[in-house]
Amino acid sequence: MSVLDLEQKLYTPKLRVEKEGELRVVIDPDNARWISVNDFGARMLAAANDRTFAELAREFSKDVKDKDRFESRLKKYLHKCAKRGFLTNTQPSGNVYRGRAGQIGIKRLHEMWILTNFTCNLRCKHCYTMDRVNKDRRILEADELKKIIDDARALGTEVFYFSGGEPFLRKDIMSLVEYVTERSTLILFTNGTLITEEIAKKLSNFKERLIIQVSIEGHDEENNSKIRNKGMFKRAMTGVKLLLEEGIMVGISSTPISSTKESVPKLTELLGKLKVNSNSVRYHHLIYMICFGNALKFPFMTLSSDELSEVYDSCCSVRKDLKKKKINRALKITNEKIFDAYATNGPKKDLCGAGYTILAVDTQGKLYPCASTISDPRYNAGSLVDEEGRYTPGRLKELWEESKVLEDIRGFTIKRHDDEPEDDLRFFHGGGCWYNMNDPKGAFSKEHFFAGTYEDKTLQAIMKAAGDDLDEDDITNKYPKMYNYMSPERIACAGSRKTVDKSDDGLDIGYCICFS
Amino acid sequence: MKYYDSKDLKLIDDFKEYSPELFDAYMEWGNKIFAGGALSKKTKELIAVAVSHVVQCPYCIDLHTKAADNAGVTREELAEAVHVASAIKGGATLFHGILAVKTLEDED
Repeated sequence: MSVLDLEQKLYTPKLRVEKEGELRVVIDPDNARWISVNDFGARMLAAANDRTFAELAREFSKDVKDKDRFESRLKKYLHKCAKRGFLTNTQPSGNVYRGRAGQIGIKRLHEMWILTNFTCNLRCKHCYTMDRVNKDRRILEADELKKIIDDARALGTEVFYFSGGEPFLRKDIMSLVEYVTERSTLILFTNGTLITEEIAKKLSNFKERLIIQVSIEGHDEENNSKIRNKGMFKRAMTGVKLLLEEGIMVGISSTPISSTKESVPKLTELLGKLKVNSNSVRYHHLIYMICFGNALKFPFMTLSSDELSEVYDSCCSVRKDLKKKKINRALKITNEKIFDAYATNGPKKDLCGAGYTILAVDTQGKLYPCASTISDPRYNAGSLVDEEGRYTPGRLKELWEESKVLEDIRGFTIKRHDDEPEDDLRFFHGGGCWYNMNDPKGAFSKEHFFAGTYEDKTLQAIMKAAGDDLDEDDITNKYPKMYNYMSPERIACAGSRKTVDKSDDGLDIGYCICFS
Repeated sequence: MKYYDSKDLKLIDDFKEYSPELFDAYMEWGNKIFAGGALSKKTKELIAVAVSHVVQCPYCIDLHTKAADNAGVTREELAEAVHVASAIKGGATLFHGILAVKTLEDED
């Protein structure tokens, strides 16, 4: 990639150019990378395809006095472009990306979702496991779950998630929390309404490796009860305060809908101002509505892509404001971090880690590729336990490697179809949740509910990264110049999900909600 | 040329190209060390931040401060870790006074 022969013809990939003041961001949508350059640099690159250096130099040095100096700068610029993959001597082969099947393999598990129980004290209108709640009272014995946890750990799992139902309705939940946190990180999803002083005290024993994520849907009772049961806002907030009092790490998740889109950013503000014993909530996470299960029964449980972008922007601006005013400098909007990661680190991404680095097990021991698919029989990868509910060590690895369902899922791709736009940013963000697409095996652009948000926010993050540490005054236009570029790989130490194989082209799975 | 620019970190990918095998071996080693184990990720990152300050590596400070933050380390915890590091570094200087004493006073 880096050796460019300037005597030969030059070729560029398909390019998309974005402007921000004097800065130009040149994007290679098919390989998911960008460089930021001045206008001169962008024009030159756009003109470079199928030309020689001599031709380019002639065209661009017409009004230049010191031609030698100019040509040497030009050469330097072109070599830099080549180094970042934007210029080669090889004519594009016209090979179309075939998708990720066979390109990336499974190597290590990273996260394991465990649905501890389906019982729940709430009846949320967006619950996608609602059909199972209270109808399905079977739960895996703790001893069997622990064996599964051991096996998941042996396969590389660093982060476990507990979800439900409501995990605090499971009587032996503390022993499971203790078991996981002995060696691994645990993120426990709860509605927070059952957390008592006693529970918070017990949980504090495990706080070194524990994050409690409480779901709250708005900044007050009225908005929270648009999705959750009445009277639950105060109880959930009390739960949060009890956890903070014990110094436990707390995150809040919200699933915005049209009628709560103004309330969710107000919740960010409320969380930012909440301090108990100098402890505060660590993050606010926006969950993009999963339009299955209960959500289908309530027509108002919707949110357009534009509305989601609006909520996202408002939450981010509240966060920035809190930081600026030094009210809360630590609160994060996790989604913002994820978009920043899309924009700053390659490589090319194709969908998520479901079935690759992520697996999920339900209350009966059935294995699924991820938590979102867990109540959908189409994605059941088989049972981890026998009819008596017993787990045989090794079964997790066996299903992960050999299940046809998981293999099929690992073959899902967001490769472009003929009727789809040629320059969207799908290979930066990976396309998001395939479960939310109408056709999970393909079409991304129009079918994905939140495609617009993914595109807008990825671009926004790219533009931010491209202009990082750069003043308008620094931008010169006397000769072509590159200022910044996207890191081709995930930066070392910046995340723990470095566990997949890569194809020769440099391909990876996208991030899901993982930020730990 | 600017020393220690925040954008420098990306050049690690170019450095990797000089000797990919050695680099990958280092990364695998590092990943194993930083995975959760007897010590939590949080504790490991706190140690990393403290050591990064002692070895005065701006890149290490950048990466491990962010990683510590992601692992749930609070600002107060971070500050205390750096204070511990500075105490050891300061103390190490002070306690080398022993050598000065030995040099001057040890007449054996």
